[in-house]
Amino acid sequence: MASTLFKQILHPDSRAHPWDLYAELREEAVSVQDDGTHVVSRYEDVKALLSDPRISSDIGKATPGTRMTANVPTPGTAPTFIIRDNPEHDRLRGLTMRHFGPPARPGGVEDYRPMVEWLVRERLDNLIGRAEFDLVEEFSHPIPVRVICHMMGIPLEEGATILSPLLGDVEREFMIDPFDAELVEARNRHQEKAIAYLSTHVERLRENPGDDMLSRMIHDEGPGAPLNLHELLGTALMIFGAGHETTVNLITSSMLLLLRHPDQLARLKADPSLAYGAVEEALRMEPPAHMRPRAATADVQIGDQVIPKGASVILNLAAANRDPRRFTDPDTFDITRPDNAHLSFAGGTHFCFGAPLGRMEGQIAVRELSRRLVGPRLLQDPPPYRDSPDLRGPSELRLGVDEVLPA
Amino acid sequence: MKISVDLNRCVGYGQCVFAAPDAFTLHGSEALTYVPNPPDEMREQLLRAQVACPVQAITLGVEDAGAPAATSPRQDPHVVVVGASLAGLKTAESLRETGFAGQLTIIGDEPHRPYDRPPLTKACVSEKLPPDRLELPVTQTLDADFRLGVEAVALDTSRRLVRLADGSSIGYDTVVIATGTRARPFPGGAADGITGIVTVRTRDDAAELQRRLALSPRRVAVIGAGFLGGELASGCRELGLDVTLVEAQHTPLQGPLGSVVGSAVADLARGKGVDLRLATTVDGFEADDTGALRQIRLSDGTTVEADLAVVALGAQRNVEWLDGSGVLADADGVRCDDHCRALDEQGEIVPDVYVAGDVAAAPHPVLPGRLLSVEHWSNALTQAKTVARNITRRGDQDPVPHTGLPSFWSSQFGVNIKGVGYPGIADRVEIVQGALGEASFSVLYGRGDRTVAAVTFDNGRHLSYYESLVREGAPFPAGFSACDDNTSHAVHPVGR
Repeated sequence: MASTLFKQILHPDSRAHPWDLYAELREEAVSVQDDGTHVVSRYEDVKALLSDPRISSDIGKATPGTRMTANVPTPGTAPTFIIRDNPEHDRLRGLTMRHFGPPARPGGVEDYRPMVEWLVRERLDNLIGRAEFDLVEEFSHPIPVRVICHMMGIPLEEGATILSPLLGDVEREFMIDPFDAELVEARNRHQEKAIAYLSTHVERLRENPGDDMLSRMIHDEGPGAPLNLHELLGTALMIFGAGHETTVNLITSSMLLLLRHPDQLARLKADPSLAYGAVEEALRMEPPAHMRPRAATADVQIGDQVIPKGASVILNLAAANRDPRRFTDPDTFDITRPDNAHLSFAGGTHFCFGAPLGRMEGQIAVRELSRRLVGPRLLQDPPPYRDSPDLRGPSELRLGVDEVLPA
Repeated sequence: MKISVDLNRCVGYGQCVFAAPDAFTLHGSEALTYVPNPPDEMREQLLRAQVACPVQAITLGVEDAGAPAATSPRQDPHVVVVGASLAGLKTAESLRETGFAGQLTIIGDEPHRPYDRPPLTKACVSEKLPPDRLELPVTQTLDADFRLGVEAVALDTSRRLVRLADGSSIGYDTVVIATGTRARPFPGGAADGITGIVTVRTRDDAAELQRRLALSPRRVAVIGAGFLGGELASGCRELGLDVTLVEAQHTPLQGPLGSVVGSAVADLARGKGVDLRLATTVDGFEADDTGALRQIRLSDGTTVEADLAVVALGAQRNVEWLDGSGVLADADGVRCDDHCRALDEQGEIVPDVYVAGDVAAAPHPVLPGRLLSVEHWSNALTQAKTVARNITRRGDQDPVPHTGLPSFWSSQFGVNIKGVGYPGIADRVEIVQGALGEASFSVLYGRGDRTVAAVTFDNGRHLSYYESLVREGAPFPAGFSACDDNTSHAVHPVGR
């Protein structure tokens, strides 16, 4: 029977606490929604489908009519590797990864460590003397935006005032209701403005390359390079968007969880190397991206249910991460949880491109926040959330502190 | 520190490389190598790499692995593990993990503590990784008595004794046979007395090979294009050396993977500049006045000017010491049941004798009626766990069967080859993802109308799905449609 659970999840009232709805989704291996979307929410099933060769990331391979298929690609750009299958995926991703990570640049992300350390220190120094502040505005948002601007050679001022707000609008308009013509129109307008900005920026880097990833992509003379302009713009837009909104969520949600669980925060304060496990546990419980859209290119049997060929599929990573069949006490926040193989960065061909950078920012952020904030407490719980049910995170996190220690 | 990565689980997400670029290296899109014994200063990096692994494949060893019991000496029962390589070590580790509190002795013929062998033909060649830095990590203190550098020469099952080459013997309550294999020498003694002809099975072999490679040989001849031969040839090419790879069959890896897939490997090898001699055997070796190799005569009448030859013609099982023990053991391995318990000539269980690793010839539920010896890393691991669980089970518990499917990996010529199941018994292959000759592809192997194996070339992220098909014996050809836009869907005879 067609379910409307997903519609409830999309509704803003569910944003702070979608977990009971997710538990309901997990009662069935496949929950078929009123628009025909097949939602998969159990850990083993989601994990299997992430690596299943019959499951495509190219939404265009799904039969039209669902919410997912109504989301058309960004005008003026080529589809990014996020929504392409092989061999095109590997070509596009390879030409991008060449400037970011292994095998060509194994230390590509570690190179950013000193900058991230500096940014975190600077943001906390800036809070010395404050008794109250919004963590999102003062810390979680500016750090990833500065990192991503640096990576893409975008002047900080332009990134913070032009591109980031535009993408914030796009994200808000993205998943709520693709059938709402007004929202779609607004989204396209904002997206076009973002593309227009990036086109100018790419031309600027073409003339005057900097020591940044985007400049290296533009001026790549290696095999198969460079990406054409439409591919470059699509990739740049995707990296800018996905690369900072998700990390904002990760930092904010990690602190939210630590402040809700003072015993865990105390452990982290006592042993800063627990920051690694703390971020993994925050990733598991509050993934920065909740759901991945897919298309079935063949009938896929899950238990005694079948996802038919052409179906729109949602892999609910966030629900899978709290599946009691896989994780003991899944709703308990335990920063030393063993064998924490969460699915927050998805898996298979489309494993998150920026995961190592997000992790590094998250680890340094929670380590320093736990060390330098004295007597931190939540002033509002639950905090208000941004609109997106997928790239889900608090829009602000008001904290009170006794003191912010100097570095 | 000591670390290991289960490269059967690893599918090349590369998260460890990002986190600890000095310890881990990604080759091409999927093949991982790592520094098994990195310096302690890298601890923070390694902790970050460990948590970041999406498949949780990285083991960091405990610091005090060699420490003896803190308090009173261990009491009976006494488990004696014969063989101090992966299967032996993992048996000991699994025994302690399952709560075994008795005495533990591990006997090894090599003078070294247990080390990881796969790098010997890979990173020890291509990256000059020192072979004395391969010690395996353990996840907890073993509190075991290591008797190293002394061979076991006999098993006396009636008196429950293991006799050692130094004349001593060790009594046991339970004994585990994990003596593995040794390199098969070049047959007929043709290589005897000539220097510059080596095999690679042990740490000392790899050190000798490294020493000879450092002398810049004019050309290296690798004899046998199986998994190890391919890896060795590939590694020598990465060093910039001229390489001739000689193989008796029509393609590399024809025995294990068939000639359809083997021909793809042949193309990869040639693409890397290997002088590949197929359907060719070695007729003889010529030495110079000093007794050093200078030329190899081939069956096609040609000669190869080479001053280093690496013989990679497979392995022989170390079973001779079991003569007269009552345990049925021969060139095919030590017979055991599906619980890894050793059997005698009559097929009866020999009490308290277990078998694990390369040396075992065991049945498998997927292949009723056949005994299989599986010389893969994963098999040593899964059989060791089965043995440990069965040794420590309570009297009222049934023994657990060994159900681990064979799985393997090999990185050669820039590609990571992974597989699961029994490709060696298949009669047809189906290309299910990509196409032969593409950057990445996947094939299924069928025996009759049933799927028995799967192999991926730089496509290991999908192997878990194919493994499920092998495990359920899914219909062959599978005929499903992968999302890849370049899938050929061709079905061929496997080619033997």
